[in-house]
Amino acid sequence: MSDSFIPLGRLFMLIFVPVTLLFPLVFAALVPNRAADDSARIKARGMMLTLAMSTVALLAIWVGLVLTGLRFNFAMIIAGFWWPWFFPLWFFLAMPAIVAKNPHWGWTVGGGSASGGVRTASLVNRERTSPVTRAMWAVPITLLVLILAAIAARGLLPFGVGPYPGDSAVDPEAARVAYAEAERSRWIFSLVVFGSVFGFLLAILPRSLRRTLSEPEPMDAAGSPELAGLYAAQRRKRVLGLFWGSGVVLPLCIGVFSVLQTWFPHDGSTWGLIGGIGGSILGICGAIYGTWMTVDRAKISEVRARLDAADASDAPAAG
Amino acid sequence: MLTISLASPVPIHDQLVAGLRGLIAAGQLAEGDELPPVRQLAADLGINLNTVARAYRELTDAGLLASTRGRGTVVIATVERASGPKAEERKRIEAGIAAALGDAKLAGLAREAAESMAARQIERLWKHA
Repeated sequence: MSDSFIPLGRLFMLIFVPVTLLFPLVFAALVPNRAADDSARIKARGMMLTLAMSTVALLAIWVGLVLTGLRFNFAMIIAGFWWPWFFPLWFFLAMPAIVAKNPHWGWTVGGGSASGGVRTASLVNRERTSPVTRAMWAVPITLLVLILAAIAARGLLPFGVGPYPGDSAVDPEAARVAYAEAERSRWIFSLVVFGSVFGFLLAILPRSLRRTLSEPEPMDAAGSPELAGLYAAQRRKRVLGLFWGSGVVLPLCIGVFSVLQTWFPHDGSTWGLIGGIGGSILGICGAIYGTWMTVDRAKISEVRARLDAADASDAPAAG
Repeated sequence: MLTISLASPVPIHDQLVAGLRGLIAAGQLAEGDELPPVRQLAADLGINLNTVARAYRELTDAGLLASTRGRGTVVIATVERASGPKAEERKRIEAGIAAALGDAKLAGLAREAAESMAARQIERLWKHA
């Protein structure tokens, strides 16, 4: 059964690696060039060119590895692990290029201000404004109990009942005992790993939500309600995204995977492949969500800069 | 809202203390109102955590704020605990007014402008008294 999945895995790798490597270039290219003056614009274009050339070079090497991999398997293995080049492309080339193209992206983290030295903050305790209600916590807690019960229930049935492949011709009873032991180990492993991973995620989630609520929200000098509203909407999306993503969707996927692996242990290679692809898809979804939040945050920074500029032009001249 | 200016010669800590005292004096922060956590205010203003913590501590020592478990920092009074004899207090306040008016004169404000500014602040602070 697993052999039929190998081409699917290869196909996924053939799509995943180039998409991951192209992402920083495409993302940076989509950010409009709003550099302050001509020299800054030229500098931003130079950084984009460096990013484009690096991306093309890495993709060319990857294509070479894939073609070589048709004859020598080691090259295909290296090609499969070519995607981590995403990190230097993103952090060292794409992010500086994005900030050079649009300086507001530089304010997506921290409490910097567009209005010279004037800084304004709201005195509302945001930790008290969480959109996650007490009732909502029932969802992840119920999920934890149900999935743990589903995994634990497997222990009530005997292990090693088959059908299982094995060297039955050599010693059928010894093979059965060995498979029963392997199934029992897998069951205990699933129970412990799922319980501790989900338990840990749930234990740190309230703290993570509090940290998300108190992320910097620097106001414009006049403390505009428009900006406060944008921050509140974005905070709500961020907190709910973290709650449903880390508290429900991620544990649900890991949980269903653990239950399937425990109840149908003979399809281990299938679950492995599905887990690998599913994990990658979850990771991509998380990256898309994170990017969406960053774009949102950059837009808010632009609004703040606009409001600060308006405040500065409205202010009466000293005298 | 609390505003500080990095361009001001007044230290950030003093601006924070003055800003919070001003909000309490004007009734914008009432007894029982909760202040944001130190980390949040420091992050929003882009300043050091310790600066905010020191300002909160100073106002706590003055009897205006209190830290309570589970509720964070709360306004507990709108009148400061006397830090010394009445005459001393008055001298300190007058020195503060003198410094502010001196600042206005150095900034080139006319006497009428300074008077109207002072009157506006008096009106704002004592309108409910």
